[in-house]
Amino acid sequence: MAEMVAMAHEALRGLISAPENKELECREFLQYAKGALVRDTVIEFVYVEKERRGTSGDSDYIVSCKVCDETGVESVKAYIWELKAPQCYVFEKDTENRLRPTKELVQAENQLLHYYHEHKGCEQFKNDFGVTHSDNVLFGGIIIGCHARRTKGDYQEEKRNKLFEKALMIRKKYIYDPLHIRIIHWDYILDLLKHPMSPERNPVEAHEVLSQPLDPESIVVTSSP
Amino acid sequence: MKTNDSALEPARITSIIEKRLARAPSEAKTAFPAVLKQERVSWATISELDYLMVVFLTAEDEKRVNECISKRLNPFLGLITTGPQGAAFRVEKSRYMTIKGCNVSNSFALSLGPDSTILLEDHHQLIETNDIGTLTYTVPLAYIISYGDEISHATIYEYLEGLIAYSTNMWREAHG
Repeated sequence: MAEMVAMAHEALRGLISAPENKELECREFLQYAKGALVRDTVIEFVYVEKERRGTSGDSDYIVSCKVCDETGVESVKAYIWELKAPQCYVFEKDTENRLRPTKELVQAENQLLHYYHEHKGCEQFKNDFGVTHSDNVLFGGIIIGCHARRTKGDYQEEKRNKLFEKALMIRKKYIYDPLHIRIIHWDYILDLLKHPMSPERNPVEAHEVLSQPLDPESIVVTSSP
Repeated sequence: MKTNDSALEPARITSIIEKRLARAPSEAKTAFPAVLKQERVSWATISELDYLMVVFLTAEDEKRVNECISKRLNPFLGLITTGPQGAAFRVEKSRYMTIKGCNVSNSFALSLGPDSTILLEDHHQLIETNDIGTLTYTVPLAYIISYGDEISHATIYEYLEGLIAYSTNMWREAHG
């Protein structure tokens, strides 16, 4: 399995850097990163379907899994994902100081909302994915673009990064986060396929590490339950 | 690039940890490190300008950490530097780096650069200082994420989810 994942990493890296649209090819690699496409640590994956047919279109990727809720009761949750190629941009220039979502991102958002709405109310969907309650049909999110294609526009590098961060933060804060919609790049999936690696140990001479006063705001201790 | 347009939300971090680790199903927990199998799972969240670190604690660790906090001392002195000091390990722009079962004495353990995600397991640190004497501690398990061009306050939750998912997958595979 580890070897397969290592080969998958190389293959996906090639697809992400390819010049032409590779959405369908990239989708095949999600099977190795399923654990990160759900919100819980799973007991087992129940069902995965690509191109799930609906009246308003086909959902790109849906994964359901058996999990344990807060009370210790087992349930099955289904997560709906919409995919766009790593070759797609996420945001593009609107003004000198503002980005707007690309048409691919807006299309993905619209598709995700429609498919979620439809599947949540569909008994056949719930049967197929092993979900017993509509509340357990959940937004997964959108996988689109890659780090190199975050923003289209003739900005200087530093400004481009700043505008991207701002556009993403605003969209997350007011649209994605309240609905628990995740937005991730294909690089994120690529990283998950990495074989475990450790950094090389440096030969470092002993030196004095000065004690520093602690900012009590910076550390919080929490327990569960 | 450090972005502070949005403040870090401790409740979201707690929710991710509870869902993926503290309240994980017992079937999954069999492969987890001992510190996550305790009846009461405790962790310290350290939020610095350059990085976020979540350290899981045994009861003994928790006592030590609380004592340090009450004395306004860094309980993980020598563990991480983001400055020019030498360290046993250097990590920058690297995802899912794993540092496991290491002993580091009288130097920083980790020189941390931007845009990195690190899993630290069973780490032992010894620091002798002129002012507060000798400090020894163990980090049974920690997740460390540094900010940069790609990882910001807006996206750090995704990277924490990814790092935890990566670690649980790794433990499950190692456990067979």
